[in-house]
Amino acid sequence: MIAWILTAARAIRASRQWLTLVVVAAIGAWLYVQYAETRADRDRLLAQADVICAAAGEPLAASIALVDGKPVTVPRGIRCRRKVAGLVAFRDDTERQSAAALAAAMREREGKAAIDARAARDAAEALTSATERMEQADAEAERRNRLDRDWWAAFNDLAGLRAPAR
Amino acid sequence: MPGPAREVPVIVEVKDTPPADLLRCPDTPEGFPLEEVGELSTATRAAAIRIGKALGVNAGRLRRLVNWIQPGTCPAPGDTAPPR
Repeated sequence: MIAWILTAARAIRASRQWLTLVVVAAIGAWLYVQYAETRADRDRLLAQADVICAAAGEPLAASIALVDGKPVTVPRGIRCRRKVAGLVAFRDDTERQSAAALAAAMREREGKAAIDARAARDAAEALTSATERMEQADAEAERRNRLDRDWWAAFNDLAGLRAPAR
Repeated sequence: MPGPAREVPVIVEVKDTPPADLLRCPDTPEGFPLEEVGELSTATRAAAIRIGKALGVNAGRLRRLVNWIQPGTCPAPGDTAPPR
């Protein structure tokens, strides 16, 4: 057993340079795989961000803008981020104002409906009483075969006409 | 730093108001003189009553419609007509 271990130690000592090279190469390969995955991830994310920003209507890439006549570099993503933030604010504002407008319209309609319901009830009552009065006057006219003041007054009332001056 | 112009929500209230002549209150002409005593056949009286009633009902409906579109435009006949 001990002899075997000693033999192995000797063998390691003999080929130490090789082993070091193998270990370094393994670490290098591992790092390379990590880097390749990271770079692929980054490219995918950039492409996705590009698509998202294009959908929002602003480029992701850095651009040059004029501020007070002087060219200024706008870093990558700034315009896109502002655009998206603006869109979110726009949607929130729109929803809030739409809700307010709808609520106001509903309130107005309810008020109108209440007023109209009252007007409809009053009109129906007035029509009923005017009709009754007309029927009574007409029965009287039928009986006497004459149209008197009551008949004409009832008629004017029923038809919604103004009372005559005299 | 310049940014994209901020979108401003556009909430437009659409006022679908009909022409002014459609929003006039119903005409209420002066009625028949009360002294007009006469004779009319039963059928003619019935026709007159039918027509008069329709006139009143239509006017009331128009009044409600106008008030619905422009509240308070046409007061009820009881508020304007002289007491009978």
